[in-house]
Amino acid sequence: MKNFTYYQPTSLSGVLKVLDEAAGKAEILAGGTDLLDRMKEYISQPEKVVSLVGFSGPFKEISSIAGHPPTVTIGAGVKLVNIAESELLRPYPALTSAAAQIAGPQIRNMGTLGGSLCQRNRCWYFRDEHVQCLLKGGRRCFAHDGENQYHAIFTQGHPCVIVHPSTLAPPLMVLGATCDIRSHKAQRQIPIEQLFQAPVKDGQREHTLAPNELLVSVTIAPKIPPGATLRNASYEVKQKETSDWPIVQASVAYYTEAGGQVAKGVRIALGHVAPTPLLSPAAAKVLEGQEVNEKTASAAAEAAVEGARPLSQNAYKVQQLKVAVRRAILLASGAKPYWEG
Amino acid sequence: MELPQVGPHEVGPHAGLTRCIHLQSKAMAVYGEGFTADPDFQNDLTDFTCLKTGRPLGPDNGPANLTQCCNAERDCYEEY
Repeated sequence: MKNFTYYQPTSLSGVLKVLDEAAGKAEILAGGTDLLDRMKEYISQPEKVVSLVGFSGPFKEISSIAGHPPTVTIGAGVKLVNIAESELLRPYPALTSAAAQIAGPQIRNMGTLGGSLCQRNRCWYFRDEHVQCLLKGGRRCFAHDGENQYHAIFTQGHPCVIVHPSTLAPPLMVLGATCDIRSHKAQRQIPIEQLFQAPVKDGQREHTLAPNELLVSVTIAPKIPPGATLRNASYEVKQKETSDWPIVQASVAYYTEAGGQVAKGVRIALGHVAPTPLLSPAAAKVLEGQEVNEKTASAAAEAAVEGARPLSQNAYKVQQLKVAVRRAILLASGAKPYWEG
Repeated sequence: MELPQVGPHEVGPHAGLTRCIHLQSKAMAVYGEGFTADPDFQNDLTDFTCLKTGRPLGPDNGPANLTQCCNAERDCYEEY
């Protein structure tokens, strides 16, 4: 690991000041489950490491879950285990179940919401210190012609075919979340969809934060009319049920009006299938205004994979994505659960 | 490596751990009620699974672990 200067500011302004002065040469340390690995493997070699430990405790905005459903704000420093077990987030099983399935207990006890959203990708070419891929100043993405079984299936227009690694991004997208972002001199709110980008060269991240910006919190505020019931769920396909990354993930949210079964305000997001988490308007359109059942869920699942362009070794993910979308929709509707056959 | 000291395989929930019958972990499968002697369990590293869903989530989509699955108020709770 390359030597670095460690900062542990005791206030938010202190953190933002260090980030401002570091001009892109600093990394933020929260749970450390991603950053420390990258530093040990020489993938990231920051000159400065700014820990949030010093102020995250007293600074409630970054370390707590607050609000009243349907509007709930989750601090970026909230641990994954606390999201999974939060009573306030109980109306959002799409989010809590996704958090409960991330990795294993060790990661969930250390990893944070901000870390999940801002972590770097898991491509094995990117993670190999000896490989100069596109994201590390090289001239090509080796996954295009190499080992690409876990890579993107929505590849059109992407010179780098990583999949975005966040499991919390798709549920937050369907729940209409917004991000509170701060820098030394400014503060801005953006819809969570705008937090992500597909990196194509060295220096670009999987998120759109400037080097001097910090993600402080994420606010969930699904738009549902009074009296309507919000229905939401996530479904992941994994090789192992614990300590693993999803191969594909689908999150869905919609509402039904009192006494009705018709899905309205449908949002469907796909995870681990493209360089950014993807909203699928095509799938949502198929389900919008329909009663949710096996038939409509399958039709939406077919629509979700429209435009998929899998690589040489990952066409299997197209079928898995269909299954994930269909099961997420049926799970949200409260239909017969998938584990009962 | 030193193996954990566990007692003979017992049947029924461990004293003080009234829990859901569907909660499972590898240590429970191997040691039965001696699972609390498993070093992973003692270090809070156990991956629990719900036998009903086959996932780390219960049928109610809540987490499957020893804390949450001792909560008799969960809809899916079935006492061991």
